[in-house]
Amino acid sequence: MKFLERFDQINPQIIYLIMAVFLIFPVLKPIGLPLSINQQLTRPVYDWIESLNPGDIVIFDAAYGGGSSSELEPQLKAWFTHCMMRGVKVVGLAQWESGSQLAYNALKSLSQELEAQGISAEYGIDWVMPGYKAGGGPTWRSMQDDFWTACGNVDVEGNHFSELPLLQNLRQWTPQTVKGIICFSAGSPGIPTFTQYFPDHNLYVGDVAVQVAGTSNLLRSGQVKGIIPGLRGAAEYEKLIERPGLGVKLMDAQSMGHLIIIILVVLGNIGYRLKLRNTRKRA
Amino acid sequence: MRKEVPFIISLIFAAFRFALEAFDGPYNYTLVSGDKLLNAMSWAMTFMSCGALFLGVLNLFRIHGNNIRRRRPHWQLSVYLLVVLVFQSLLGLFTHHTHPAYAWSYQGIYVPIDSTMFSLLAFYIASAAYRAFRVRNSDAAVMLAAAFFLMMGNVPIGELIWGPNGPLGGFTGIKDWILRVPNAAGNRAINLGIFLGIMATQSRILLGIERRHLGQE
Amino acid sequence: MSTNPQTWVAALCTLAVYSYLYKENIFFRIAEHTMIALAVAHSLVTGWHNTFIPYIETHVKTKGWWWFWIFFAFGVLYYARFLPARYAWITRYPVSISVGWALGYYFSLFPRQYAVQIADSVRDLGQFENILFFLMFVLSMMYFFLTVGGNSKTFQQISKVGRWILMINFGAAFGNTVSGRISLFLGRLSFLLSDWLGISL
Repeated sequence: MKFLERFDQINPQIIYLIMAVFLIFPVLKPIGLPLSINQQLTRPVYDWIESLNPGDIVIFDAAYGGGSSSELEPQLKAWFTHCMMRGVKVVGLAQWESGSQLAYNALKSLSQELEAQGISAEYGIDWVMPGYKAGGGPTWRSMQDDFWTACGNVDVEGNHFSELPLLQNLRQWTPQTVKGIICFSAGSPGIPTFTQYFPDHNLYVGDVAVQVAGTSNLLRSGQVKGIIPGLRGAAEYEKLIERPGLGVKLMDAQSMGHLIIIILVVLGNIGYRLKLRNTRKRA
Repeated sequence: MRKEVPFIISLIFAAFRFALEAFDGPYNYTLVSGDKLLNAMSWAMTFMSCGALFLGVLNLFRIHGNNIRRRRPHWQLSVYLLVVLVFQSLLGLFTHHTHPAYAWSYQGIYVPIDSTMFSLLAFYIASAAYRAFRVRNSDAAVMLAAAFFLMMGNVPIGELIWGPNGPLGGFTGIKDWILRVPNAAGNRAINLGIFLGIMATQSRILLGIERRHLGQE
Repeated sequence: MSTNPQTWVAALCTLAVYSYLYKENIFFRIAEHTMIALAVAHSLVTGWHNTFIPYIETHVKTKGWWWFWIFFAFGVLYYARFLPARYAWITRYPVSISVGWALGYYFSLFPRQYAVQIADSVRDLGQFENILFFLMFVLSMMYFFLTVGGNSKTFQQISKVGRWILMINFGAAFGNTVSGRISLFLGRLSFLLSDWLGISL
């Protein structure tokens, strides 16, 4: 009993060590546990891209930073690959300065890989990254009337919009010219910009897992049409497009991490209950 | 007068924007250039924030300059911070943020540190869950049960134990239902509470009861 | 193992931050100070190249909107906070413009997204799940009623159920948070193992 009581107070450093050690093994040697596709969250995002015609334009918003890139970049890459496979044109904006750079770098190297595999992903023709634009919601809303002017006419590299063929078809951002928006969101500013200023547009969200509970409310009200939830969502999307990547590989480690936390909570409660009982007995 | 004039300016801008947003006439009013007045004003406000672009840099100079002047503990790190700040700012301003030299340090130093800082939370949440998640009453039990189903529904091992083809759709089915119904209901209630709170605060500002944003006399 | 110096620097930065798990140390502090400096510099640089310069080209020069400089001048007044106390109040002017502009938004557009949610709460009440959702929503709201019926026993019982629903919300948020935080660590772990040490995953 004394031994079990000790579970009430394990040194935090030991917990950290357990976490680190037990997560390394499944990352190195994943066994490939089954992974189903969430019909309520991830599937609608996939179906949206599937429903589009080649040449249709979609816009994504990289509203994240380095702190959440581990979750959102695998999502962005899987979704972008899907768009390129379907011939859907992608325009990338960013509400976060850091998101602009991160997404651009990630897509630049990904597009080279896709090109090498024979999938057209040429910058300026298949995708463009105007990137971060300051001014918050009102500036973003003004993009609906005059996309070029609101963006200051330049992309992340400083190229003038007139030099980018894809943007010749995007003078105004309306539901007719842009067939949906996806916001890869890690916090604020993020989703509210679109629920507020773009109520007529179909909005999808690439969400960090932390926010999924909150975004589910918007999914229910129809303000959001689909959610890619965290790293699991990325893994599901990779599976949907039949290109398993980092997301799928890390899912076994996710299982292990969750199991450790559940076991720790159970142990902590056993220790707590036993200690409580013994204290009462002594009293 | 030092507070009254700014307060009146606030009211003028509030009324102006309200008119631009709420009524069709002002909303669609276009300037000679063909741009909507509302958009032009939005861009002007953004341009105003450009006037304060150096605010963050100056703030760091003030804080760390003080550290250095007063030789506070670890003042050498403040010197280091300011050197990095000046170097990276000048490099970025005189080249471009996509210039290889600038991007090298951003991608090679900032991004990994930022990511790792957040990933520390994986350890803290494990430790916090273990230390704080005690079933002391019915509220904690309900919360723990919801967290359990969510966690098991989020990972493949949960599907292996109780798959989506099992009764009630397994852990995934229960997770989806929790997210869709009780979680969304509770979240919406909290959201509406926040909304009412924000509106109450804004009303106080509008009526001039709340003036703390204008600072002390 | 990687031969790319950038990968090495990134790996060392990663390890420096993780060293904090053992205890606070100089490597962590250096990483912390570097991050703040780079973040602030990046904010300045992107604001300059992505907004300030393009706005001058597009709006001021091309359209001849010289009045933009008036707003810019108000923005410059933000720096007055660094002046001695007797001039620092000048900063109230740009603050009052920003607050007023936001205030107009809060009383016009802001309620719209909440109106959608309220309307959705009473949508299609013929379905069992929608009725259940509506009841849970009302019960959760009742927990926040601090003034009406607070002393009645029935009310307290009802608001207790509301509290349970909120607890489910918090539990769901916690469950998802665990998932998110582990993902972040796995991201760094895969970087260290794959990109740095060259182990194929």
